[in-house]
Amino acid sequence: MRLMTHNMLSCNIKGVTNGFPLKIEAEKVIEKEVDFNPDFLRHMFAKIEWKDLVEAARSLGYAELPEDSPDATVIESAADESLLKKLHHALLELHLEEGALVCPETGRKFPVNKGIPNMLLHEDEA
Amino acid sequence: MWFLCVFYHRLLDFRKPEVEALAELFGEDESIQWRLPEHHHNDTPFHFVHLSSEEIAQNIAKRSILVKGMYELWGEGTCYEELKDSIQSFPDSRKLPFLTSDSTFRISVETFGKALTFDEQKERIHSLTYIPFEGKVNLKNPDHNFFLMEMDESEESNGLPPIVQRRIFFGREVGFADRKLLPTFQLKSRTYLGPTAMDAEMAFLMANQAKASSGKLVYDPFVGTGSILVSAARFGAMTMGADIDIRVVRDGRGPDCNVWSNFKQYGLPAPVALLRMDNNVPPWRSGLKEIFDAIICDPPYGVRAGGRKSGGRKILRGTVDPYTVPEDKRTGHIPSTGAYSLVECVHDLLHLAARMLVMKGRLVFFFPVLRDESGSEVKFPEHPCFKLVAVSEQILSSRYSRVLLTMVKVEPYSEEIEEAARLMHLEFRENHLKWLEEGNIHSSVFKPSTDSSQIQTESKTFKDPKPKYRGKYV
Repeated sequence: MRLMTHNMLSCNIKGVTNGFPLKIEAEKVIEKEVDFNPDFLRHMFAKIEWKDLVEAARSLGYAELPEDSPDATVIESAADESLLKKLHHALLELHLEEGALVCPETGRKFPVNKGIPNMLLHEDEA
Repeated sequence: MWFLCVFYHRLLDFRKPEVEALAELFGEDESIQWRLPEHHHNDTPFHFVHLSSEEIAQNIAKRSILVKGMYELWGEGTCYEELKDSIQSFPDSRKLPFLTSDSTFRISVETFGKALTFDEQKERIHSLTYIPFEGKVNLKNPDHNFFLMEMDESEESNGLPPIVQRRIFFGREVGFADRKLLPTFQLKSRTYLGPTAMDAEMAFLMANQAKASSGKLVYDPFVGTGSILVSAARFGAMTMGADIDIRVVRDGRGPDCNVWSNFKQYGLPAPVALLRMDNNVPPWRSGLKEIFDAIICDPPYGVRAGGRKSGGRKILRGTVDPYTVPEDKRTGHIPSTGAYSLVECVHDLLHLAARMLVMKGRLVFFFPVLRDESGSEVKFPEHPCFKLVAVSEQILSSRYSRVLLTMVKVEPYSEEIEEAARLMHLEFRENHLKWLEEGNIHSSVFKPSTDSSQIQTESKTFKDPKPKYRGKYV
């Protein structure tokens, strides 16, 4: 599971109001190379919650992203590729293969196996 | 400028919408106009299409599945004398740049509905000597490719209307299809297949309807084996998929036979994410919206594969309250799922798309329809955020078809719109309860025929009760 996915998910158990971001319990993390596509990254940049991405990356062992969200203009301009490359690495190249995503409010664990998070809710949670 | 667009004679309903979607993708900003050649009916392979530039025509032809080629028409007629007059009246300024002495060319003869001998073909090519070709002939790799196309008159056949008069076209090829695409991606050589894997040709058509391209994110909420996403990825899009069945998505049939290996097989980038989730209770964070450029899918119709959603049978019916799984059994617990009717499934899909598609993003999905004898107007699911731009029918059997619906998001999502959509959904569900049987189209399709008229006709003559129009079957 990539951090791009993690940035989109929350615990939607009935009654939970603060299900995002899910805490990451990492058991197995791997790095997989992905082709660099600046257009795609720019498109995604507008949609991600930056602070949560930075924290999630840290929990997987990557601390290169700047704390504060860069200005949109910095991302748009073709000049600073180094920042985009860091974003690329954090968003797409870090993989949580085995572990769990934990709801910050209820502690409910969503297992991640073979890179696939199981977000299915139990009968009493929907 | 007008181009002659020659289609493959297949999937007739899908031809024009594909060209229109691709034209939009390649920057066409005017609305597409179509014109039929004289005496031709709508199912003909020949159509005139108006596009702003040759470049757009070339790009469309190259990526299209159903376009055989795009041509700049130099002349047409019902006989070779008429053709000659027509070509000679085509302005020299448009012809001469392609007839220069330092270029190479080739003239091919194509006939539709008949075969010509080599001599007959040569004779026709030689009849074109009035065109001042100055370049050299190169049959393998010419700079310019010219086509002489002849379509004869034909009688009514299989329900297709007759072609009243022969028509001959002569044109310069500006674009042609990539013939290697389908053989490479055909399902019979795919590593991981499932019973409802989308065949390659249709998956590419869907990806074209969705305008999948580099830099875009395409989502399939019923990903299964990933057959639809493979085609989107081939066209450069980043892909993402989800399914409620974890075995299909996570395990496949082994470490080398799963969704990931399908992408690896063609050297395509693997999906950005594969998830197990229930579309009925999705795990998206509340602020998330307008993230997908396109949603392409084939929802379960309940005929060969039924949809599932959270909550066991009894819970959904209300005979049992949602039960709590004891702590010690929670980790390995597989939540029960219950029937998920087609109508409800599509409603959730529209809701998802309304929220998660970018503005002007496309939702492309299949919807099953029973082939009504009376040909009454079929109603499709609607949502106030969407405008329906294309409907293409693929006949599956004498009883039912599926239509590929293409919807474009034209209104942003809001609470008010969601309420309006909910009411639309309730109305739609009521109107369709009759033949959808709570989403169970399965029984309507598979019940034995009780049509008495069929039995009667068999005893009378061998004639079919209605003309077998195979046009859309192909």
